[in-house]
Amino acid sequence: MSRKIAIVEDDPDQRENYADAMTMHGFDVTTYPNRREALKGFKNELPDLAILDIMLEDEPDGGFDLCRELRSMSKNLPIIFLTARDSDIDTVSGLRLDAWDYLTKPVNLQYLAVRVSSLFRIVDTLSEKSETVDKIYRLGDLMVDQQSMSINWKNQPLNLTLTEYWLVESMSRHPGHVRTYDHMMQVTRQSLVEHNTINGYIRRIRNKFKAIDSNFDSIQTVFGVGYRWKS
Amino acid sequence: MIRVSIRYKLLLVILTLLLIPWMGYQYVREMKAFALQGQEEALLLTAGAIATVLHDRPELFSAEKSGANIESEIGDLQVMRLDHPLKMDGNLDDWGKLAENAGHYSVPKMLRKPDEKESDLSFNHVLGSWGSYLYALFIVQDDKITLRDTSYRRLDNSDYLRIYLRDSNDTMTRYAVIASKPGRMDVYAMDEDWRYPLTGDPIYSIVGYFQQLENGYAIELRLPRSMVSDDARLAIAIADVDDAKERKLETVLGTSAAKSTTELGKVRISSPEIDRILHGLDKAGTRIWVIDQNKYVRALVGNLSTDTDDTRKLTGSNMKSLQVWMNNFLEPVFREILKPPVAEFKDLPDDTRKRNEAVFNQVLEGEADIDRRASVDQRAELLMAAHPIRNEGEIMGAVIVERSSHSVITLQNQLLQNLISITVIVFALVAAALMTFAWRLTRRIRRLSKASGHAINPDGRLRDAHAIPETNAGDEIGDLSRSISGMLARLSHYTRYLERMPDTLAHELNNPLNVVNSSLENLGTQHPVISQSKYMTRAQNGVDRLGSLLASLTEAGNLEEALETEHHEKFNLNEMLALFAEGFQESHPEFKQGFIIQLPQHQVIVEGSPDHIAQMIDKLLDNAMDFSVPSQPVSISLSVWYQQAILKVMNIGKTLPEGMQERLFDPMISLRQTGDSRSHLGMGLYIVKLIANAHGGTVEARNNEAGNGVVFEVKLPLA
Repeated sequence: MSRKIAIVEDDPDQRENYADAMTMHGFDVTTYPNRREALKGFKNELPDLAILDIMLEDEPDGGFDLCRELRSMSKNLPIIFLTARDSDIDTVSGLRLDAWDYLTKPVNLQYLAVRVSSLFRIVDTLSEKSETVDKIYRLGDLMVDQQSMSINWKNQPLNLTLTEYWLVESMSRHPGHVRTYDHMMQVTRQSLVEHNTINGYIRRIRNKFKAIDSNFDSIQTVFGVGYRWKS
Repeated sequence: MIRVSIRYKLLLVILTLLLIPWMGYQYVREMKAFALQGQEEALLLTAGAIATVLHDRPELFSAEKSGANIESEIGDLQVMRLDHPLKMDGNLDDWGKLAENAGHYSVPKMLRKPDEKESDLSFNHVLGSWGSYLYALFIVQDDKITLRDTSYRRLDNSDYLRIYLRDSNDTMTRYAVIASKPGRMDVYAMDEDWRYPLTGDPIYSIVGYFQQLENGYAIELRLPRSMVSDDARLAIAIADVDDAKERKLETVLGTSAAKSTTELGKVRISSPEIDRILHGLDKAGTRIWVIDQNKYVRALVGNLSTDTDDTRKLTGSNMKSLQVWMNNFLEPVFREILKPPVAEFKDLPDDTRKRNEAVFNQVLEGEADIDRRASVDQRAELLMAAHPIRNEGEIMGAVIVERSSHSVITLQNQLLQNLISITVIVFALVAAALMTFAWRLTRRIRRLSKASGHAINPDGRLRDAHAIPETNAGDEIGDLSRSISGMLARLSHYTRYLERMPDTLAHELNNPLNVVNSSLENLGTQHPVISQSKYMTRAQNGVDRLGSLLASLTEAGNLEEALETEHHEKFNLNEMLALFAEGFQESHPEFKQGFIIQLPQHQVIVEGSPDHIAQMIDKLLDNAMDFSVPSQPVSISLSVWYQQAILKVMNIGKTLPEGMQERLFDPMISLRQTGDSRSHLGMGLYIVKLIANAHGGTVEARNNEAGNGVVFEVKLPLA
């Protein structure tokens, strides 16, 4: 049975393009142009994954509201935010909405498909609870579970988005080595990423670590080049 | 433009208040003329009234009317009315002014000349009457005083005083008043030759007192008035003997020639009847003369002296204590400019008569007249009015009323003083009020102008639209302030709109860009052949560039938001630059000429957001690399100067055109060639400036000294 994906996007062209791409990757796609119709649809049948635009027709924050309502229906439903504005990402963090990932437009549809597949794999791992030890590695206080794509710091789980997980995983895989901005752009699997966007991700990641451990300083900035994980 | 503060302009306007005293002065002058005229008319009325009383009463003038002729007037004795009795005690003080003015009444006549030498004898005299007495004072200048030697029976061998008296029956009586020692004198009736007394008995009814003076002596004399009847004639002479041994009579000097009875002067004692009538008018300040047709003075009452108490201050209800104080304060100034009228001046009947001949003639021809003249000593102005006295159509005499203009001038001066005091007070108050007002006004305007000047920062950005003061004021400044405030608010909206425009634009463009992008991707997936096409690749490149452009458009806007919320920390700029140079060389292998970096040995600690400082350095280096000629490295240097970290990034290459140094840091300004393969919107240096300013620093660009490259200099305050 193919996975059901709901796409909520007010722009018909983009909506259809996403739907076509996802269908091509073998997903069962339902599309909604606004929050009201999406909510109606969700009440009939919950999707397995939702891709939400933030600005929906006349509601500038329609996507956020929809996310909250969806989260109240299902705790573990993966949600991906799509936004045309960088600053909206900060809003997502600020509102502490349990989005699994967020992307800025323009999105690369290939990467979107990869992202969706990855999220489904996480969902599967969580539901199976299979302990595949070889997929877990430790680096000092850091524990990375590649299967469930989750990270623990000092035995406490971090609530990272998919992109954030990829970035931490990428740095910790080569501790002491500089991960350049170019490399990190690849890791985020987005079509267009500026240095600032990477800096923003790192800032948010550091904040999440510091929420657990205020002395956290394992992510080092290499000015003008990128970042590295201090072992 | 000449800058004149509103304050000074208002001060100039205030000066026009000084016209008020001038106006007041003009007004007071008019008033003075009016008051003088009024006084003259009052005087004329008085004169007329007195004349009316004296009309048709020839008996008042009769006594002296007969036999009068003008020649004999020469020896007339003018008797002044006194207001108190005199003591015959050698003390001349009770004579008062009369003693000083003794010389004014007539010119002594020489009755006997000395044989060989010039006479050294002269005297001044004055006569007065009070009650039933007639008084005389003779002040005699004599170099040798010869007192009577009582061993002689003859009386003409010492200095003595002669009295010639002819009664109405033409009987001549002679008296010698003689002193054997200073003090009470002896009086004898004398024979015709003035040699021997008629009897041995002294006359007691006449009292004389002798007193030695510095240059001679003074004789006070008192006669009973009954002795001198209305038409009696009188002459008084001084006989002088200089040689105490020879005792020869040298000189006789008299009030009239005294050769015959007709040559004796008339005694001009005011007619008692007229005196009685005029008695009630005998007051200080006004002098009333009654003259007969021969211009002889028949009566004289009152005097011109003005009582100093009379110059009382004007005290009206508007005379406030402040004004009194101001009056006293300005007293010296008033004395200087107003010349207060003299209360004490000299004006005596003798000269007066000579001086007013015209008026006298006029009035004796039957016409009332008024005149003004200066007093004898020119110190005061006198007003006079004359009115004829008639008897059955015939002019019998005249009444002349004189008054000093003192009171009018005093009044005028008092008015002027009050006016000036009030003006000074009003001037001070108005000036103070206006200056306070002007001060407040200019302060408000200055505050407003300062605030509106500061409302927009040098970048043209609005600081705070609510910082404009005075917006609650209800006057024109309030209006101005409100309109400036409104203007700034509209400007603020517009600026915000402009600032948000790139962001909004990017957001709006991102959606269609995403449509193109996703469509191209789907197209490639569905038709793998097409995805191989070079056009597909170019289209994809174009989309990427467009996306990159949009990203850089929003970068500045996002950065500003981030800078406001960014957490600041202290860090070592020295260390950061070292890492930066190292990393940058690594990440830009294509930039072969490399970097030259000069860092100080010590730490350079600044406070701020390291990420953003790094971003700023990144932009500067990017820029330097782009404009560097291929063979020349980019130099980076850090130094400390006056609590500031100075970061310089220098590259050899194209210099900055004139006038671009400032504009270079504005958004959307780029010097890159339009054919550049990379996408640039000229936001890089704008971001550098935003970050530098957010850290309290500055950035500037200039050509290097050699003129073959450009230096960017960032100054950041040390932590």
